[in-house]
Amino acid sequence: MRLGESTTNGHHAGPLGHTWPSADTSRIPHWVYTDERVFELEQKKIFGGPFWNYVALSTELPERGDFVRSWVGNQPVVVARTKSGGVSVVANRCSHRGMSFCMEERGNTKTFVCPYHQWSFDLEGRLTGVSFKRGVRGNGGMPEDFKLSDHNLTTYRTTERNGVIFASAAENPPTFEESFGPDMLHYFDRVFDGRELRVIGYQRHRIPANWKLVFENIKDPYHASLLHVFLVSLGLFRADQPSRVVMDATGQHAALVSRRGQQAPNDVTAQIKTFDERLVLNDSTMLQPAKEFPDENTVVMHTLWPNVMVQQQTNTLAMRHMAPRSAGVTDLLWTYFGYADDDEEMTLRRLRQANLQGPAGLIGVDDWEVLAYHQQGLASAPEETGVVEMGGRGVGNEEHMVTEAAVRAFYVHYREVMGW
Amino acid sequence: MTLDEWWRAYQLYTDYTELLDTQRLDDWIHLFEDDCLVRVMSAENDKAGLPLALMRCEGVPGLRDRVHAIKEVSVYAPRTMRHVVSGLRLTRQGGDFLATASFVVTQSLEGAQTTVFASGVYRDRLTPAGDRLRFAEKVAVYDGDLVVNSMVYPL
Repeated sequence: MRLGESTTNGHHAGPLGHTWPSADTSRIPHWVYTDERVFELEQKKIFGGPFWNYVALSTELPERGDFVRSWVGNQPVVVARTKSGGVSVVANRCSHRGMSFCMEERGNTKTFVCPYHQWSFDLEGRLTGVSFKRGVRGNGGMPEDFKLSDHNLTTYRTTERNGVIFASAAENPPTFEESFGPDMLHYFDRVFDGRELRVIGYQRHRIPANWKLVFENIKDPYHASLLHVFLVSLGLFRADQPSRVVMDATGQHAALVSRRGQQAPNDVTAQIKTFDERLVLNDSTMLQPAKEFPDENTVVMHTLWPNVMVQQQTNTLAMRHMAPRSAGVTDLLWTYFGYADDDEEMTLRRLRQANLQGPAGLIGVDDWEVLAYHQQGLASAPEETGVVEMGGRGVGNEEHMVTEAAVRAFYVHYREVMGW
Repeated sequence: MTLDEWWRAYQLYTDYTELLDTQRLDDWIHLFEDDCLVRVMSAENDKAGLPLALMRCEGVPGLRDRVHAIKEVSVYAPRTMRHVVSGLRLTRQGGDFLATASFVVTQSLEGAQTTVFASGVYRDRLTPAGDRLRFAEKVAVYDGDLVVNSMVYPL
């Protein structure tokens, strides 16, 4: 099927009795953001489907036995560096009674032991021991036919590319390279070029909005050049700058690519009600850029289906990992990083520029506040539909920012996976 | 530590919370040294020795940029914040004082219930300026990993 075509004609009800309101994706029904049954189905078909979910950076697990908690959709998992130096991802859910056995965010261990009844597992998730298995002084114990190997932890398929770890719940997902395609791999490898990464810190917040709104926000350059006075007025990201919206063949992944411009009024800024040519920074060190990639792009916002956005805004590099909690709530987990060979000056530059994004970001705050009110509006009328026609109704790559093409493309893929 | 010194530190924190909570942010900036460093950090990063802050203002110029964003630039729902500071402890360091104190900050959005927005500890350095004290460094380390949506005002 070609991108932009749909197998549903918009009139037959799909899963959960819902019907998509249009043949194309220039209309998005509000119920995709508000219906808890849709949320549950997404957990199975999207986050539990044959796709690669970001879970951690390799540099977070330098030693054998290192582990870190993470999320695949709303499922808690533990990511570990195994004895052989590989990576394992297991459900943080004991196979005995279902307890989330790992109570620490990160650490180092030889085995996972559930504290409740001390079932113990190796780092690959195999059950290796059950206390009182043979009973105590002839009393109790497991039945004769109880086999440890029948009760391993739920495990995920894993892949590691240039320092980034992904997991899939599916038995036979396509390879990472097949999933992302050459255009998207180009932007992935631009940041993850094989150099060792170094985490400089985490930021986490709970956004009262559906995960797709969080995702779409980074696929939508139309809002970025209007809502964000800081970006617009300082020329960091604006509709009159050289820019591209690039997608893979399926529409599931996208990259917004842009080059920094000047803070000068022109015919475009005249249309931006909030443009402020007088906005100057008192502390200009906050935004002093340093070129560190081969191309001239100063912003690449890369959305990787289904659960992560890779941010390069000047010299801030961050994974924005979504852990959806319910239809109306998403935890956004930020891992800011640089490269192991960064000097102090570069690290300081990254720390300063981090003021722009995140839960307290000079730009970020605008997004989280708007998303919260967006969700409230959607929840008040789930039967209504949104209009997504900026830049036409198509889903192809664009060489400008005045488009919602990447949002439309996302929903072509979404409909295919979900069955609407 | 004299009672007078402790009293001056107590006054500084009272000014800090009052000016912040009543959104008199231009006056609030006067409580800081010109070359101060002001950061809001997660306990997670602090414990792990990771340098990333949630907010980072370098000097009065950096504070002015943050205040300008809050007053003129950022888009957010109106809210009232309330700081409660307790357990102020001072240690002398040269001519300065190291100060620690616990804080709780509540957030009240219009038309909504008041919620606890953050709790944590200040680890500050205070320096004499005339007969008052000012912040030479301020670090607010918040306890809970998850921030409630967005942090508009500093802790």
